[in-house]
Amino acid sequence: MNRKLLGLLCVLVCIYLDSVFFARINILGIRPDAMLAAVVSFAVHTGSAAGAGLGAAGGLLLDVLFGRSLGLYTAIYLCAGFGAGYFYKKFYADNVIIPAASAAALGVVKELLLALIVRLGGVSYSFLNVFGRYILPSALLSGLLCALFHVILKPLTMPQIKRRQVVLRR
Amino acid sequence: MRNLLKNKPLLIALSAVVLLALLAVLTSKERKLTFIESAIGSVLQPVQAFASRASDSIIDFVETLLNTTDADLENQQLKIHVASLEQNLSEMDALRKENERLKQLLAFAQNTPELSYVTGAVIGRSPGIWFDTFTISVGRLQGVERNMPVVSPAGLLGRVSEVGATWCKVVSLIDSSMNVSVLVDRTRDSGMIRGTLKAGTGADTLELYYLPSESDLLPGDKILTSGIGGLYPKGLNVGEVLTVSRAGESEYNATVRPTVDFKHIEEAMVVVGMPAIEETS
Repeated sequence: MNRKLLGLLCVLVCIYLDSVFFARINILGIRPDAMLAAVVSFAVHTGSAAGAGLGAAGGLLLDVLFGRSLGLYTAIYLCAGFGAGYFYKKFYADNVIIPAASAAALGVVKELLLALIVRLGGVSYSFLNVFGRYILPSALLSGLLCALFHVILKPLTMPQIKRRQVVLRR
Repeated sequence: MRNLLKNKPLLIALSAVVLLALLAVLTSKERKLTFIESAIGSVLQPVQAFASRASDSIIDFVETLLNTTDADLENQQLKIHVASLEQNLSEMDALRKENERLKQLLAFAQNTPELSYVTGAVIGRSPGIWFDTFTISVGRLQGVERNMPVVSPAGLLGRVSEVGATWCKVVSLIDSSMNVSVLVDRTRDSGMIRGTLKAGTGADTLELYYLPSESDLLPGDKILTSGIGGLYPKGLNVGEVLTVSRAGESEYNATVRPTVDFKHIEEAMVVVGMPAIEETS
Protein backbone atom coordinates (compact mmCIF):
# COMPACT_ATOMS: atom_id res chain seq x y z
CA MET A 1 0.00 0.00 0.00
CA ASN A 2 1.17 3.53 -0.73
CA ARG A 3 2.95 4.86 2.34
CA LYS A 4 1.19 8.24 2.38
CA LEU A 5 -2.22 6.62 2.02
CA LEU A 6 -1.36 4.16 4.77
CA GLY A 7 -0.23 7.04 7.01
CA LEU A 8 -3.47 8.97 6.36
CA LEU A 9 -5.52 5.87 7.15
CA CYS A 10 -3.53 5.33 10.36
CA VAL A 11 -4.12 8.92 11.49
CA LEU A 12 -7.89 8.75 10.85
CA VAL A 13 -8.25 5.38 12.58
CA CYS A 14 -6.24 6.60 15.57
CA ILE A 15 -8.28 9.82 15.91
CA TYR A 16 -11.42 7.69 15.91
CA LEU A 17 -9.94 5.28 18.49
CA ASP A 18 -8.61 8.03 20.78
CA SER A 19 -11.58 10.41 20.65
CA VAL A 20 -14.56 8.09 20.27
CA PHE A 21 -13.83 4.42 20.92
CA PHE A 22 -11.50 4.54 23.94
CA ALA A 23 -13.50 7.46 25.37
CA ARG A 24 -16.35 4.93 25.81
CA ILE A 25 -14.46 1.65 26.21
CA ASN A 26 -11.82 1.98 28.92
CA ILE A 27 -10.85 0.52 32.29
CA LEU A 28 -11.66 3.04 35.04
CA GLY A 29 -10.63 5.87 32.75
CA ILE A 30 -7.34 4.18 31.81
CA ARG A 31 -6.97 3.97 28.06
CA PRO A 32 -4.13 3.41 25.61
CA ASP A 33 -2.72 6.10 23.35
CA ALA A 34 -3.59 4.76 19.91
CA MET A 35 -1.82 7.59 18.06
CA LEU A 36 1.44 6.91 19.92
CA ALA A 37 1.15 3.17 19.31
CA ALA A 38 0.57 3.68 15.57
CA VAL A 39 3.35 6.27 15.21
CA VAL A 40 5.90 4.01 16.96
CA SER A 41 4.91 0.95 14.94
CA PHE A 42 4.94 2.92 11.67
CA ALA A 43 8.36 4.41 12.50
CA VAL A 44 9.87 1.00 13.32
CA HIS A 45 8.59 -0.32 9.99
CA THR A 46 9.44 2.66 7.79
CA GLY A 47 12.13 4.78 9.50
CA SER A 48 12.60 8.04 11.37
CA ALA A 49 11.55 10.47 8.65
CA ALA A 50 8.27 8.72 7.85
CA GLY A 51 7.59 8.13 11.55
CA ALA A 52 8.20 11.78 12.38
CA GLY A 53 5.99 12.84 9.47
CA LEU A 54 3.13 10.64 10.62
CA GLY A 55 3.60 11.81 14.21
CA ALA A 56 3.53 15.46 13.15
CA ALA A 57 0.38 14.99 11.02
CA GLY A 58 -1.49 13.02 13.69
CA GLY A 59 -0.38 15.36 16.48
CA LEU A 60 -1.44 18.42 14.48
CA LEU A 61 -4.95 17.04 13.99
CA LEU A 62 -5.22 16.21 17.71
CA ASP A 63 -4.01 19.73 18.53
CA VAL A 64 -6.63 21.31 16.27
CA LEU A 65 -9.51 19.12 17.41
CA PHE A 66 -8.83 18.68 21.12
CA GLY A 67 -5.61 20.44 22.15
CA ARG A 68 -5.33 23.37 24.51
CA SER A 69 -2.49 24.87 22.48
CA LEU A 70 -1.35 24.37 18.91
CA GLY A 71 1.91 22.42 18.58
CA LEU A 72 2.08 20.46 21.83
CA TYR A 73 0.83 17.09 20.57
CA THR A 74 2.54 17.76 17.21
CA ALA A 75 5.93 18.10 18.89
CA ILE A 76 5.38 15.10 21.16
CA TYR A 77 4.34 12.70 18.40
CA LEU A 78 6.99 14.05 16.02
CA CYS A 79 9.67 13.23 18.62
CA ALA A 80 8.10 9.82 19.27
CA GLY A 81 8.14 8.97 15.55
CA PHE A 82 11.68 10.22 15.12
CA GLY A 83 12.94 8.35 18.20
CA ALA A 84 11.18 5.07 17.39
CA GLY A 85 12.66 5.21 13.87
CA TYR A 86 16.01 4.42 15.49
CA PHE A 87 14.95 0.76 15.54
CA TYR A 88 14.22 0.73 11.79
CA LYS A 89 16.02 -2.25 10.20
CA LYS A 90 17.83 -2.98 13.45
CA PHE A 91 15.57 -5.90 14.39
CA TYR A 92 13.53 -8.49 12.57
CA ALA A 93 10.14 -7.19 11.50
CA ASP A 94 8.53 -10.11 13.38
CA ASN A 95 9.86 -8.80 16.68
CA VAL A 96 6.92 -7.15 18.45
CA ILE A 97 8.74 -6.73 21.76
CA ILE A 98 10.88 -3.81 20.58
CA PRO A 99 8.02 -1.61 19.27
CA ALA A 100 5.79 -2.54 22.19
CA ALA A 101 8.51 -1.67 24.73
CA SER A 102 9.34 1.56 22.83
CA ALA A 103 5.68 2.60 22.80
CA ALA A 104 5.34 1.89 26.52
CA ALA A 105 8.54 3.81 27.35
CA LEU A 106 7.59 6.74 25.10
CA GLY A 107 4.09 6.64 26.63
CA VAL A 108 5.61 7.15 30.09
CA VAL A 109 7.82 9.99 28.82
CA LYS A 110 4.86 11.68 27.07
CA GLU A 111 2.61 11.46 30.14
CA LEU A 112 5.40 12.75 32.40
CA LEU A 113 5.87 15.72 30.09
CA LEU A 114 2.13 16.46 30.10
CA ALA A 115 2.08 16.04 33.90
CA LEU A 116 4.86 18.63 34.15
CA ILE A 117 3.04 21.06 31.85
CA VAL A 118 -0.20 20.67 33.83
CA ARG A 119 1.69 21.15 37.13
CA LEU A 120 3.36 24.29 35.73
CA GLY A 121 -0.14 25.46 34.78
CA GLY A 122 -1.00 25.53 38.48
CA VAL A 123 -2.95 22.29 38.88
CA SER A 124 -2.08 20.32 42.00
CA TYR A 125 -2.30 16.54 42.17
CA SER A 126 -0.60 13.61 43.85
CA PHE A 127 2.18 12.64 41.45
CA LEU A 128 2.67 9.11 42.81
CA ASN A 129 -1.06 8.47 42.65
CA VAL A 130 -1.28 9.65 39.03
CA PHE A 131 1.92 7.79 38.11
CA GLY A 132 0.83 4.48 39.62
CA ARG A 133 -2.84 4.59 38.76
CA TYR A 134 -2.78 6.19 35.33
CA ILE A 135 0.60 6.74 33.67
CA LEU A 136 2.01 3.21 34.07
CA PRO A 137 -1.17 1.26 33.21
CA SER A 138 -1.90 3.57 30.29
CA ALA A 139 1.66 3.13 28.94
CA LEU A 140 1.34 -0.62 29.30
CA LEU A 141 -1.90 -0.61 27.29
CA SER A 142 -0.24 1.58 24.64
CA GLY A 143 2.57 -0.99 24.40
CA LEU A 144 0.07 -3.83 23.91
CA LEU A 145 -1.82 -1.84 21.29
CA CYS A 146 1.47 -1.08 19.52
CA ALA A 147 2.21 -4.82 19.31
CA LEU A 148 -1.18 -5.29 17.65
CA PHE A 149 -0.59 -2.38 15.24
CA HIS A 150 2.85 -3.81 14.45
CA VAL A 151 1.35 -7.12 13.35
CA ILE A 152 -1.32 -5.34 11.27
CA LEU A 153 1.10 -2.86 9.65
CA LYS A 154 3.79 -5.41 8.81
CA PRO A 155 2.15 -6.92 5.69
CA LEU A 156 1.08 -3.45 4.55
CA THR A 157 4.58 -1.97 4.73
CA MET A 158 6.67 -5.03 3.75
CA PRO A 159 6.03 -4.99 -0.05
CA GLN A 160 7.30 -1.45 -0.18
CA ILE A 161 10.44 -2.32 1.77
CA LYS A 162 11.11 -5.30 -0.47
CA ARG A 163 10.60 -3.16 -3.60
CA ARG A 164 13.08 -0.61 -2.28
CA GLN A 165 15.63 -3.36 -1.54
CA VAL A 166 15.32 -4.67 -5.13
CA VAL A 167 15.94 -1.16 -6.50
CA LEU A 168 18.96 -0.76 -4.23
CA ARG A 169 20.42 -4.11 -5.36
CA ARG A 170 20.14 -3.06 -9.02
CA MET B 1 29.33 17.07 18.31
CA ARG B 2 30.46 17.43 14.67
CA ASN B 3 28.69 14.15 13.80
CA LEU B 4 25.61 15.46 15.50
CA LEU B 5 25.69 18.63 13.41
CA LYS B 6 26.09 16.54 10.23
CA ASN B 7 22.94 14.54 11.03
CA LYS B 8 20.52 16.48 8.84
CA PRO B 9 17.28 14.66 9.77
CA LEU B 10 18.03 15.08 13.48
CA LEU B 11 18.70 18.80 13.00
CA ILE B 12 15.44 19.21 11.07
CA ALA B 13 13.51 17.32 13.74
CA LEU B 14 15.11 19.36 16.55
CA SER B 15 14.35 22.65 14.77
CA ALA B 16 10.77 21.52 14.20
CA VAL B 17 10.37 20.61 17.87
CA VAL B 18 11.80 23.96 19.03
CA LEU B 19 9.45 25.83 16.66
CA LEU B 20 6.46 23.73 17.75
CA ALA B 21 7.27 24.25 21.43
CA LEU B 22 7.42 28.00 20.75
CA LEU B 23 4.09 27.80 18.91
CA ALA B 24 2.55 25.82 21.78
CA VAL B 25 3.64 28.47 24.29
CA LEU B 26 2.38 31.30 22.06
CA THR B 27 -1.00 29.64 21.48
CA SER B 28 -1.53 28.34 25.02
CA LYS B 29 -3.66 31.33 25.98
CA GLU B 30 -7.26 31.84 24.87
CA ARG B 31 -7.29 32.57 21.16
CA LYS B 32 -9.40 32.47 18.03
CA LEU B 33 -9.13 29.55 15.63
CA THR B 34 -7.42 30.30 12.33
CA PHE B 35 -9.24 29.68 9.07
CA ILE B 36 -7.13 26.56 8.40
CA GLU B 37 -7.86 25.05 11.85
CA SER B 38 -11.56 25.80 11.42
CA ALA B 39 -11.58 24.22 7.96
CA ILE B 40 -9.75 21.07 9.15
CA GLY B 41 -12.29 20.66 11.93
CA SER B 42 -15.20 21.24 9.55
CA VAL B 43 -13.87 18.61 7.13
CA LEU B 44 -13.40 16.05 9.92
CA GLN B 45 -16.65 16.88 11.75
CA PRO B 46 -19.04 14.79 9.57
CA VAL B 47 -16.58 11.86 9.59
CA GLN B 48 -16.29 12.05 13.38
CA ALA B 49 -20.04 12.45 13.82
CA PHE B 50 -20.70 9.40 11.63
CA ALA B 51 -18.01 7.35 13.41
CA SER B 52 -19.37 8.37 16.82
CA ARG B 53 -22.96 7.41 15.92
CA ALA B 54 -21.86 4.15 14.28
CA SER B 55 -19.73 3.08 17.22
CA ASP B 56 -22.52 3.94 19.68
CA SER B 57 -24.91 1.70 17.73
CA ILE B 58 -22.38 -1.14 17.49
CA ILE B 59 -21.51 -0.94 21.20
CA ASP B 60 -25.20 -0.83 22.17
CA PHE B 61 -25.94 -3.82 19.93
CA VAL B 62 -23.03 -5.87 21.37
CA GLU B 63 -24.07 -4.92 24.91
CA THR B 64 -27.65 -6.04 24.20
CA LEU B 65 -26.40 -9.35 22.79
CA LEU B 66 -24.15 -9.92 25.79
CA ASN B 67 -27.00 -9.15 28.15
CA THR B 68 -29.30 -11.68 26.47
CA THR B 69 -30.08 -14.47 28.93
CA ASP B 70 -33.32 -16.03 27.82
CA ALA B 71 -32.43 -16.97 24.21
CA ASP B 72 -32.43 -20.66 23.33
CA LEU B 73 -28.74 -21.13 22.62
CA GLU B 74 -29.15 -24.72 21.34
CA ASN B 75 -31.34 -23.84 18.41
CA GLN B 76 -29.35 -22.29 15.58
CA GLN B 77 -32.33 -20.89 13.72
CA LEU B 78 -33.81 -19.40 16.83
CA LYS B 79 -30.44 -17.88 17.65
CA ILE B 80 -30.36 -16.10 14.30
CA HIS B 81 -33.96 -15.03 14.75
CA VAL B 82 -33.27 -13.79 18.26
CA ALA B 83 -30.17 -11.93 17.07
CA SER B 84 -32.22 -10.24 14.37
CA LEU B 85 -34.92 -9.30 16.88
CA GLU B 86 -32.28 -8.11 19.30
CA GLN B 87 -30.84 -5.90 16.60
CA ASN B 88 -34.27 -4.40 15.98
CA LEU B 89 -34.75 -4.02 19.70
CA SER B 90 -31.36 -2.40 20.04
CA GLU B 91 -32.17 0.08 17.28
CA MET B 92 -35.56 0.82 18.86
CA ASP B 93 -33.93 1.14 22.26
CA ALA B 94 -31.36 3.59 20.85
CA LEU B 95 -34.18 5.61 19.24
CA ARG B 96 -36.21 5.54 22.47
CA LYS B 97 -33.20 6.74 24.48
CA GLU B 98 -32.50 9.48 21.95
CA ASN B 99 -36.17 10.49 22.07
CA GLU B 100 -36.04 10.66 25.88
CA ARG B 101 -32.86 12.72 25.82
CA LEU B 102 -34.30 15.14 23.25
CA LYS B 103 -37.52 15.43 25.28
CA GLN B 104 -35.44 16.29 28.36
CA LEU B 105 -33.53 18.90 26.35
CA LEU B 106 -36.82 20.39 25.13
CA ALA B 107 -38.30 20.42 28.63
CA PHE B 108 -35.16 22.08 29.97
CA ALA B 109 -35.28 24.72 27.23
CA GLN B 110 -38.99 25.38 27.90
CA ASN B 111 -38.36 25.76 31.64
CA THR B 112 -35.74 28.44 31.03
CA PRO B 113 -37.43 30.76 28.51
CA GLU B 114 -35.07 33.62 29.31
CA LEU B 115 -32.23 31.72 27.63
CA SER B 116 -31.95 30.48 24.06
CA TYR B 117 -30.00 27.45 23.00
CA VAL B 118 -28.52 25.59 20.05
CA THR B 119 -28.17 21.85 20.47
CA GLY B 120 -25.33 19.77 19.07
CA ALA B 121 -24.14 16.18 19.22
CA VAL B 122 -20.93 15.30 21.02
CA ILE B 123 -18.61 14.03 18.28
CA GLY B 124 -15.29 13.50 20.05
CA ARG B 125 -13.45 13.74 23.34
CA SER B 126 -9.88 14.65 24.18
CA PRO B 127 -7.53 11.73 24.79
CA GLY B 128 -5.83 11.27 28.17
CA ILE B 129 -6.64 12.67 31.60
CA TRP B 130 -4.74 15.93 31.59
CA PHE B 131 -7.20 18.00 29.59
CA ASP B 132 -10.93 17.36 29.52
CA THR B 133 -12.42 18.84 26.39
CA PHE B 134 -14.94 17.60 23.86
CA THR B 135 -16.12 18.75 20.45
CA ILE B 136 -19.74 19.30 19.48
CA SER B 137 -21.37 19.64 16.07
CA VAL B 138 -22.43 23.30 16.24
CA GLY B 139 -20.27 26.31 15.53
CA ARG B 140 -20.06 29.89 14.33
CA LEU B 141 -22.71 29.33 11.63
CA GLN B 142 -25.22 28.40 14.34
CA GLY B 143 -24.39 31.49 16.40
CA VAL B 144 -21.94 29.92 18.84
CA GLU B 145 -19.25 32.18 20.26
CA ARG B 146 -16.31 31.73 22.60
CA ASN B 147 -17.00 31.56 26.37
CA MET B 148 -20.66 30.68 25.91
CA PRO B 149 -21.88 28.28 28.59
CA VAL B 150 -22.71 24.71 27.60
CA VAL B 151 -25.41 22.86 29.51
CA SER B 152 -27.46 19.68 29.55
CA PRO B 153 -30.78 18.98 31.33
CA ALA B 154 -28.74 17.57 34.23
CA GLY B 155 -26.72 20.75 34.69
CA LEU B 156 -23.64 22.70 33.65
CA LEU B 157 -21.28 20.97 31.19
CA GLY B 158 -18.62 23.62 30.61
CA ARG B 159 -17.87 26.53 28.31
CA VAL B 160 -16.96 26.98 24.67
CA SER B 161 -13.22 27.54 24.27
CA GLU B 162 -12.74 27.60 20.50
CA VAL B 163 -15.21 27.92 17.64
CA GLY B 164 -14.99 26.61 14.09
CA ALA B 165 -17.53 27.15 11.32
CA THR B 166 -19.59 24.02 12.06
CA TRP B 167 -18.02 22.75 15.29
CA CYS B 168 -16.69 23.99 18.59
CA LYS B 169 -14.43 22.85 21.39
CA VAL B 170 -15.86 22.77 24.92
CA VAL B 171 -13.81 22.74 28.12
CA SER B 172 -15.61 20.42 30.56
CA LEU B 173 -16.61 21.50 34.03
CA ILE B 174 -14.40 18.64 35.33
CA ASP B 175 -11.28 19.96 33.54
CA SER B 176 -8.59 20.89 36.04
CA SER B 177 -8.33 24.41 34.58
CA MET B 178 -12.03 25.24 35.15
CA ASN B 179 -13.08 27.58 37.95
CA VAL B 180 -16.77 28.34 38.39
CA SER B 181 -18.44 30.57 40.95
CA VAL B 182 -21.12 28.58 42.80
CA LEU B 183 -23.44 28.71 45.79
CA VAL B 184 -24.76 26.11 48.20
CA ASP B 185 -28.49 25.73 47.57
CA ARG B 186 -29.46 25.20 51.25
CA THR B 187 -27.28 27.81 52.94
CA ARG B 188 -26.80 30.23 49.97
CA ASP B 189 -23.06 30.42 50.81
CA SER B 190 -20.85 31.34 47.86
CA GLY B 191 -17.70 29.51 46.85
CA MET B 192 -15.68 28.37 43.88
CA ILE B 193 -15.53 25.00 42.23
CA ARG B 194 -12.78 23.47 40.14
CA GLY B 195 -12.11 20.19 38.38
CA THR B 196 -9.72 17.59 39.71
CA LEU B 197 -7.55 15.07 37.94
CA LYS B 198 -9.07 11.62 37.97
CA ALA B 199 -6.34 9.01 37.96
CA GLY B 200 -7.46 5.44 37.56
CA THR B 201 -10.60 5.88 39.66
CA GLY B 202 -13.00 6.39 36.77
CA ALA B 203 -15.01 8.80 38.94
CA ASP B 204 -15.35 12.47 38.06
CA THR B 205 -15.13 14.78 41.06
CA LEU B 206 -14.99 18.52 41.68
CA GLU B 207 -13.39 20.47 44.49
CA LEU B 208 -15.36 23.17 46.34
CA TYR B 209 -13.23 25.89 47.94
CA TYR B 210 -13.29 29.50 49.13
CA LEU B 211 -16.31 28.82 51.32
CA PRO B 212 -16.93 31.17 54.28
CA SER B 213 -15.49 29.86 57.56
CA GLU B 214 -18.92 29.88 59.25
CA SER B 215 -20.44 27.83 56.44
CA ASP B 216 -22.51 24.86 57.55
CA LEU B 217 -21.88 22.51 54.67
CA LEU B 218 -23.20 18.95 54.80
CA PRO B 219 -22.80 15.93 52.51
CA GLY B 220 -25.75 15.82 50.13
CA ASP B 221 -26.02 19.61 49.76
CA LYS B 222 -26.81 20.75 46.24
CA ILE B 223 -24.38 23.09 44.50
CA LEU B 224 -25.67 25.56 41.89
CA THR B 225 -24.04 28.20 39.70
CA SER B 226 -24.13 31.62 41.38
CA GLY B 227 -24.19 33.70 38.20
CA ILE B 228 -21.41 35.92 39.58
CA GLY B 229 -19.17 37.10 36.76
CA GLY B 230 -21.94 36.80 34.19
CA LEU B 231 -20.35 33.88 32.39
CA TYR B 232 -22.84 31.22 33.50
CA PRO B 233 -26.58 31.62 34.12
CA LYS B 234 -27.59 31.55 37.79
CA GLY B 235 -29.14 28.42 39.28
CA LEU B 236 -27.75 25.71 37.00
CA ASN B 237 -27.11 22.37 38.71
CA VAL B 238 -23.42 21.72 39.29
CA GLY B 239 -23.23 18.83 41.74
CA GLU B 240 -23.86 17.33 45.14
CA VAL B 241 -21.48 17.46 48.11
CA LEU B 242 -19.83 14.09 48.78
CA THR B 243 -17.36 14.79 51.59
CA VAL B 244 -16.52 17.84 53.71
CA SER B 245 -13.21 18.53 55.43
CA ARG B 246 -11.82 21.52 57.29
CA ALA B 247 -8.26 22.36 56.25
CA GLY B 248 -7.71 25.16 58.76
CA GLU B 249 -9.47 27.72 60.96
CA SER B 250 -11.01 29.51 58.04
CA GLU B 251 -10.71 27.04 55.22
CA TYR B 252 -13.28 24.56 54.05
CA ASN B 253 -12.72 21.94 51.37
CA ALA B 254 -15.37 19.70 49.95
CA THR B 255 -15.56 17.06 47.27
CA VAL B 256 -18.49 17.39 44.92
CA ARG B 257 -19.93 14.80 42.55
CA PRO B 258 -21.10 16.50 39.33
CA THR B 259 -24.76 16.05 38.45
CA VAL B 260 -23.83 15.44 34.82
CA ASP B 261 -22.53 12.00 33.88
CA PHE B 262 -19.62 13.22 31.76
CA LYS B 263 -18.86 9.74 30.44
CA HIS B 264 -22.22 9.44 28.73
CA ILE B 265 -23.04 12.88 27.35
CA GLU B 266 -24.30 12.59 23.78
CA GLU B 267 -25.95 15.98 23.21
CA ALA B 268 -25.06 19.37 24.57
CA MET B 269 -26.84 22.74 24.50
CA VAL B 270 -24.90 25.96 24.00
CA VAL B 271 -26.56 28.95 25.68
CA VAL B 272 -26.51 31.48 22.84
CA GLY B 273 -29.05 33.79 24.45
CA MET B 274 -26.56 35.16 26.96
CA PRO B 275 -24.14 37.88 25.90
CA ALA B 276 -20.65 36.46 25.53
CA ILE B 277 -17.97 37.83 27.83
CA GLU B 278 -15.80 40.45 26.17
CA GLU B 279 -12.28 39.30 25.46
CA THR B 280 -9.61 40.73 27.72
CA SER B 281 -6.19 41.44 26.37
